[in-house]
Amino acid sequence: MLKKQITRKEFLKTGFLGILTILALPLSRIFSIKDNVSRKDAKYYKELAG
Amino acid sequence: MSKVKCLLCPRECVLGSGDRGDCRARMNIDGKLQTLVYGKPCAMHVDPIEKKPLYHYLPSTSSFSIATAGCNLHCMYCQNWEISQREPENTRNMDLSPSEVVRQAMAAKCKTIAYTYSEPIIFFEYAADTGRLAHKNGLLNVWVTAGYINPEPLKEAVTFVDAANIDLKGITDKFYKTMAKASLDPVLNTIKTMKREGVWVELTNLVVPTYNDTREDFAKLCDWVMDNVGPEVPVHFARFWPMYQLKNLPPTPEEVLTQARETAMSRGIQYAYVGNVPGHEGNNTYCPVCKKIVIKRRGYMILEYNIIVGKCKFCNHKIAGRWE
Repeated sequence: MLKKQITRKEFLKTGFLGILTILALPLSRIFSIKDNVSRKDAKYYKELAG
Repeated sequence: MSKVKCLLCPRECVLGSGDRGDCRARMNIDGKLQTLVYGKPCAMHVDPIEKKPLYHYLPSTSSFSIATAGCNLHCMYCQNWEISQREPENTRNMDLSPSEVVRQAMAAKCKTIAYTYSEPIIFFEYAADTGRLAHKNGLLNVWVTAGYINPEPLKEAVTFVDAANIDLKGITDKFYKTMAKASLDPVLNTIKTMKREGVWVELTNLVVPTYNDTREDFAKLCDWVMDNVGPEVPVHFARFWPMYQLKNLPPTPEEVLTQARETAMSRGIQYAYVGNVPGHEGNNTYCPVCKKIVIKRRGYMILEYNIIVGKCKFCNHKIAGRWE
């Protein structure tokens, strides 16, 4: 079986992409929140003074 | 920005700008209360109506069932906690307008739309609009609810809810506070109001070991039912399974459920059932007069059906319910 040696450059590139992916996940949820929930006027409430 | 007070349920949450209600599904946005779940169900399925459970309402028909995230109760044994105790931002939601719900329900040949799994009260606006559209298209509406709602919205709900399975989780305020962080009286009011306004009502009591499983509990619950809504309201005693925050308890022993059913019948309840125990004689419907089996069931399936034009085939006694 051939063993491919990972170069330092490939290792760093993969690690960097992995970190970006982990960071991007919560950010993507923030941007998609607007589509995932509604914003519609509710019934049965009152505004409070003050 | 002004604060608002939600008036949908007895919690009556007071919310500052950006605050969310206890149900997680309503928020004060710029001084106005908004629903975060309109048209955004996180669960959708076609179920047999017996699953709700409704045993006396259009048996053997399919019910198009939807739910959104959130709930205004926090029951320690909730089997749907992954949607009921979550913010809608944290569930996978579909885009399903009221007209799309009705269209899909009709395409699936369902006779009813069920608002279920979590709690229809907290997606009230969505349930109301969908419910009215359902009526215009010849469909009926079923709520599976804990009944924790204020009188004003309840008055509106009974104009579009045709049948309801209401949880009567316990018969003491202490139980409701311990188990669900709620109170008993609003639930009793909901049961009485729905019955009085012509909604077909069936009740479910989940029997939880060490919490509400004594003969006295069953007797007190059944006496309330007899005195307030009458002997023809079906009562389902359902088996608890270890779940959510009560994984330390065992499932309800079958003999306790049998005792609950026998207590109910001795107190005058005409239709007492045992739920979540396939094969139990309490799965069946018996004529209250001649005692013969009028509907034989195994789980949600009907094996025998002996009701003709709403009456017992054997003795002609009228069996309470809506059969066609």
